[in-house]
Amino acid sequence: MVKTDYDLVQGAMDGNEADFEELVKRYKNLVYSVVLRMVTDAEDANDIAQEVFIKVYRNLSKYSPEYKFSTWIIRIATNTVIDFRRKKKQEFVSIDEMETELPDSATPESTYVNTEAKSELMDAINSLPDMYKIPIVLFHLEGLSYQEISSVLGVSMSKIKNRIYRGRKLLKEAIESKKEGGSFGLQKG
Amino acid sequence: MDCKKAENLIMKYMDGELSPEDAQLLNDHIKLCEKCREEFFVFDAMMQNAAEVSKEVIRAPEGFEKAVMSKIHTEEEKQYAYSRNDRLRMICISIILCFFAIGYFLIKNKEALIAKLYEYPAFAQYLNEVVPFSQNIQSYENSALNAVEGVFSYADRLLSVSGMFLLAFIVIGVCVYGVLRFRGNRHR
Ligand SMILES: [Zn+2]
Repeated sequence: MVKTDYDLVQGAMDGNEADFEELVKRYKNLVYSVVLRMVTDAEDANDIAQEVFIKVYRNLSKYSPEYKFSTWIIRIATNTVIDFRRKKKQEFVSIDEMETELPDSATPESTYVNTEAKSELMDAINSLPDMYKIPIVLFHLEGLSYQEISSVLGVSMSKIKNRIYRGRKLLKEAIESKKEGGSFGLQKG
Repeated sequence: MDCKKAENLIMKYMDGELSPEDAQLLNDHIKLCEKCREEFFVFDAMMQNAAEVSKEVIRAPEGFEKAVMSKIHTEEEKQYAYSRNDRLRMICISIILCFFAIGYFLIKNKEALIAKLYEYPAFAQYLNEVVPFSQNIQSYENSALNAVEGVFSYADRLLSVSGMFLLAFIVIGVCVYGVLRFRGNRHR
């Protein structure tokens, strides 16, 4: 018989380590993928994802089965990413400053294959402020519904919708300005 | 239909919530409006790329759960050492408090206790043997006792009720115990 997530949570709270390890196995890819898509650096993502599970372990008693475990864990993951960024912001240049670097203008238009378009999109997503980036990643890359994102972030549905709409426009601008900046060196008015 | 409405429909399209009627409306508009057509294709390409990215399976690095479990173990060990230190500290504080309270009680009721002990013949005999010897060191003892008694009588006056003093010790002891216990158990 397969144990439910809640069975595992209760087992882990009773001190059964194997149950907690099973939870980690079930959710490690989800957590790592959410985190990696928000921070892009694999090493940072690994550290943050591990921290997420340690927070989960410490807060098992706060989990309530009325929420899906995945929603709960994504909530912890996003909060950990936000905390991480807050700490890191004091150490490094801001994301906005990094955005100004131009793409390799020597790349001919024709070689823009699928993978490049994808990495372009990811670059654009990463240039967004967290406020837009997190809902965009959760909706478009992780496939969460507005309802789920609203409960993950503790923000109303209408606000989430606004942020995603605004975020998409910012993405489009980022992609366009990069393309134009690359081929002409100037942004078209 | 104006461009503002068309933009809203494009957003709905990206939400995956565009009804067939709305799709028709949007289609009619972008056939005529170049600005919205361009916008639609940029967004559409973006959605396709996002769909591609979301299909990619990202796996946590090798040995991920082992790393998590070992971090949890180290943390628990630290937690255990911490709570053990707390317990030791707590026992030390309790013992000191007990000695203090007992000492206070004995000094405070010295006369009454000695009078009480005289009622038992065995003790009376013992005390009679001890008293002459103790009178030899009375001079040292007296000065020490006077000093101690001086402190206590001052504290006594300060608190006005002598029982308060003892009670305060007990309250502090219970609080210390409670706080340390709570801290020790919080992460269990
Ligand atoms: Zn238009």
